[in-house]
Amino acid sequence: MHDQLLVALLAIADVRLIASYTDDQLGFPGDDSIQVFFPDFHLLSAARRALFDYGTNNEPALIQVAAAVLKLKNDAAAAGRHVTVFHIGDYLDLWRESLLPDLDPAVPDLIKDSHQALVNILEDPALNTHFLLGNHDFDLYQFAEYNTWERRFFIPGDAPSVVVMHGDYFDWVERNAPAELRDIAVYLFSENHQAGDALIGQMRNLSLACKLADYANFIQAPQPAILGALQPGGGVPANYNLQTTANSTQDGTKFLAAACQECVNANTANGTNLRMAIIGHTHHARIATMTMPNGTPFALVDTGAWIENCGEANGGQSIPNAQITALSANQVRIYQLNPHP
Amino acid sequence: MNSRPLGFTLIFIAGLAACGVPKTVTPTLLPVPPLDSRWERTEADRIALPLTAAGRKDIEDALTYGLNRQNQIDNVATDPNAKASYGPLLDLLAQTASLSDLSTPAYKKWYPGKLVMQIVDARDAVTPRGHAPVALNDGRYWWVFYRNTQDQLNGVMVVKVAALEVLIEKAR
Repeated sequence: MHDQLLVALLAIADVRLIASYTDDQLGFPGDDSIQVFFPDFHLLSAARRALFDYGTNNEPALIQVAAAVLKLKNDAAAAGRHVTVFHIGDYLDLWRESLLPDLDPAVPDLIKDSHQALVNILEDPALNTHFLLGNHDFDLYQFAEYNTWERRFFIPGDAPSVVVMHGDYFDWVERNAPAELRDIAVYLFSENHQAGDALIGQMRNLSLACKLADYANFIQAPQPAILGALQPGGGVPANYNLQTTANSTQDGTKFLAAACQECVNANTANGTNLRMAIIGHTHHARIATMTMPNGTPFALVDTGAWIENCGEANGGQSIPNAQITALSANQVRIYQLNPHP
Repeated sequence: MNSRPLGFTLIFIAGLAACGVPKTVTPTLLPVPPLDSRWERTEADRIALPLTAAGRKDIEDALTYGLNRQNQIDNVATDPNAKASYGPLLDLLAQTASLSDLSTPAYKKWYPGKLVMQIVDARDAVTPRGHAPVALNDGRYWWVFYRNTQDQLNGVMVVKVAALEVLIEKAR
């Protein structure tokens, strides 16, 4: 179903391939289903957006993309095929919207009021978006409306090979908070039952501990994320522009080793076969690969963002991040969209 | 109790508030969430206690897919290890038990918090009185236990109410 999605995207934008990766053991062998991943949006209310030099990129195109995915899902269902949609987290940016979002359920509504068309599609029950909580919208968990939003998903659900999570956990790993991380790692990767643990409180504390003092000029990096060379979206190779520790763009392998190690730990403890982590958070679209100690290939897929900028390794102008990721027929692709004028 | 307005009954009991000491918060009332946060659609498909083989399979599926049947339709798991990690608890629930058993160490191991005695379920035509359901938290989900007039546990419904998870707030 990659082709159907690509056709739909080409009607909206010039599409370039950031990276592709194929692994026959991902658990999605057929072409009768596709998993679509929306990255970080960081939506703000119009009033707050006016106070920042940067914000969600090209929302009209984003609305078109969301509508195209909804149509694809409806058309696929009629043909006996299946589209599953995820939002990777940081859909709303509570941190930039308000100094005290954690007690006021009106804050997310204030943001959504400025993005009704987009929200109506993304939260349409017909799309059944599987929302993850990011660090900038973690406090949504306190409000009943967001009760089904999660911190990680495992796909395919009956024999998981992929963990889908926001990715801010790896910030905590880098900051080395071992006492809190032990239980949280279990929660995120292996889900052993921990009677009485109150992990959400700990996770929220760590999110706040990693909050920057000032988001006036950027969230993740002041410079564009370097993607490597992009190529036209047609004729996608099985593997393209993969980042490795031996050959990487700047920060191309960030979180790779940590993500691999967590999956190795979970597999050892629980007999799972996790071999891919799909994240957002860094606003740096990329696929990074390495090999697990037992020889299993591992990939970290970073779905990028729809905020801040990126650029090619050989220089040139910066490009607004506008990325979408898809997994079908055991192949992951990340596209950069340059919407038609 | 039953005549109190909802706003007055949703009272939280604050624990120790000294600096650096974890503060726990236990609700006194549990609202049953909508269908996307519970496996049970209607009372007709309530999981009976003691657990049967079919009931056990049903509850394992519920825990694997985050109590959300839409997750199951999309084959998106939230806890692929649920069958193993909750196995000993499900063994326990396969045994005959009554309300008082919920306070024994065997159950406290899984549900260390206080028993919540007020369950508000919008599906109820009238407020349950007498042998009303009770709820316990396992650290992630709320388990609503139903009982008969002899206080024997005869049904269970697992629900997710993230906003009522017991927080550990640290000084910050």
